[in-house]
Amino acid sequence: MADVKCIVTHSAGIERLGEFEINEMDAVETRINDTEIHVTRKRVSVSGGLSVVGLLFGPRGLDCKMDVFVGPNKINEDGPIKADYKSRAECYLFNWSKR
Amino acid sequence: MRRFLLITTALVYSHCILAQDVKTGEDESTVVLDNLNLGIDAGDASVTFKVNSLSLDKKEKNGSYKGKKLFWGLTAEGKNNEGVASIFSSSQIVPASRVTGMLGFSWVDDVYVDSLATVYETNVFEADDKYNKEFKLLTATLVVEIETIISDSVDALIGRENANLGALNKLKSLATDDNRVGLSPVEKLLKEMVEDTSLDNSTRLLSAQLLKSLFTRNPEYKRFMELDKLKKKAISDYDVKVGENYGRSTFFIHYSNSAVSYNTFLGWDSTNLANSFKSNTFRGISMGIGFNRDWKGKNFLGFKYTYEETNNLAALRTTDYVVRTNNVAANQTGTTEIKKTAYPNQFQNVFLHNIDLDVLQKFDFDDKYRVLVDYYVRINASTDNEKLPSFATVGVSSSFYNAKKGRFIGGVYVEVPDLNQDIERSKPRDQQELEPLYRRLSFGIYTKFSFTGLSDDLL
Repeated sequence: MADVKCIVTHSAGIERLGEFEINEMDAVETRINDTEIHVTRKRVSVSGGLSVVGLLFGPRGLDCKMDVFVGPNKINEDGPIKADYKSRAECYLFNWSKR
Repeated sequence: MRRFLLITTALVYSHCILAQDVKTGEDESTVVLDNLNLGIDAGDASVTFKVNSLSLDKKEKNGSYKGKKLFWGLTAEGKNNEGVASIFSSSQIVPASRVTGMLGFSWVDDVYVDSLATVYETNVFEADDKYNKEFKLLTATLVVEIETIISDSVDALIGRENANLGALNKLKSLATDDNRVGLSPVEKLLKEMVEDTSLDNSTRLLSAQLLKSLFTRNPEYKRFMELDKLKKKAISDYDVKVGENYGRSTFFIHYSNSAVSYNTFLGWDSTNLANSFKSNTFRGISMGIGFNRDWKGKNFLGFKYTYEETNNLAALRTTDYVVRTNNVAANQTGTTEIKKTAYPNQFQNVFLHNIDLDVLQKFDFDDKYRVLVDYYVRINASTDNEKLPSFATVGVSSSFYNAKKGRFIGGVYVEVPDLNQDIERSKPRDQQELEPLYRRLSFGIYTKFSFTGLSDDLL
């Protein structure tokens, strides 16, 4: 069991955020400033893998990315995880998993 | 001979020939295509270097798509009335040249960009959801099972003599590590241990057995891999299914500078015949705007307006003159001969409003050959019909390409130059030679040798 923390940074202009899940369970979202949100969930079983799903609502052209930490270790070795623009809902979608 | 050598050289290099130009009879199409090439037009005795930054749209794997682009273009053209081979001769000056700069903006329809996102959602995200849901079931049973088996197997081996304690303890601690994300670190370590020749055979054998039994025979793990494949397939399908709503518009402005050197015949100078000619240089500018529209990558519309400062040389006829000078010394005679090609002394600057219109269609035959058919209209509206009459040209050209390699094979065109015979009508009535349309039809074949090294396959 480990603590998981996601640091989401985005360009200004976000309308609302929501529905972050870490391994299919609701996570706690904490707004740090206009461009940064921390998403955390404690005591997560990550030995089988880790998935993070989340939505950020805002206008087109937002730059939106995320770093994921398990305990003190950053596990997205290939650089920040970028969010996909989801046209129908006018929002940005994180749908990331690591097995 | 030079021309023969040049064409032979071009043929030798034909493996790298790509043709990004769509040519009409005498001119080039107004549709801007990705370009970086050096072209030699044997028929027109010209060399053209073209480059622009209008690269093709690239779809990225995460579904994002750059549908808008600012681009620039540069074209330099040298033309020689003496024939293409002499362009490369050190003693010749290219008599006509043109440099054109272009700046434009190109954007893909929002409908297409949105449809890309929709296709991406329905394919990739759905596969992703499925992957994540089944993944949850897997974690509950498989992972605990794997951790237990690894831990027990390692414990059994640690008791043996000469056991590789370091490697085995590392494997056990990784298998039971709470902070380990997923099974791939375990899989990776087992693979390393199998290949590590410094380990004893028992340890390596155990690693191989664990790999085989845990990661290939386990049905849940197989399912895991199937889902992974499904996700990858969804991404590749997405690349294929996106062509239907494609539309692209391009707007550009262009500016060019041209120069032409020519001789005029002033009339015979009785004191010195060699002074009967005058060398001149014409410099003109042209500028304008253009618009392109691309539907589904198959049908194109090209429009270009140009305000051009030009001359009436095209309407004048050249005459070849020879001046011979005899030098007599003692009983011998030497002859000096000067040859001149000159225009009559009726040169005038003319301003034109040019409107060029192209409709292009792309046809594929058996995925091997591609034909671009260009229906074109060229309107040259003169601001002074006395100096140079206005005229219009219409035509159809077909360019043939090898679709797989993008090689230009050749082209044919049918054209009606001066549609209303305006140039003919501008002459005195007794000199006019008006002819019916069918007798003025002009047919032609064109080829262009293009050397390209850096461009992608356009076609």
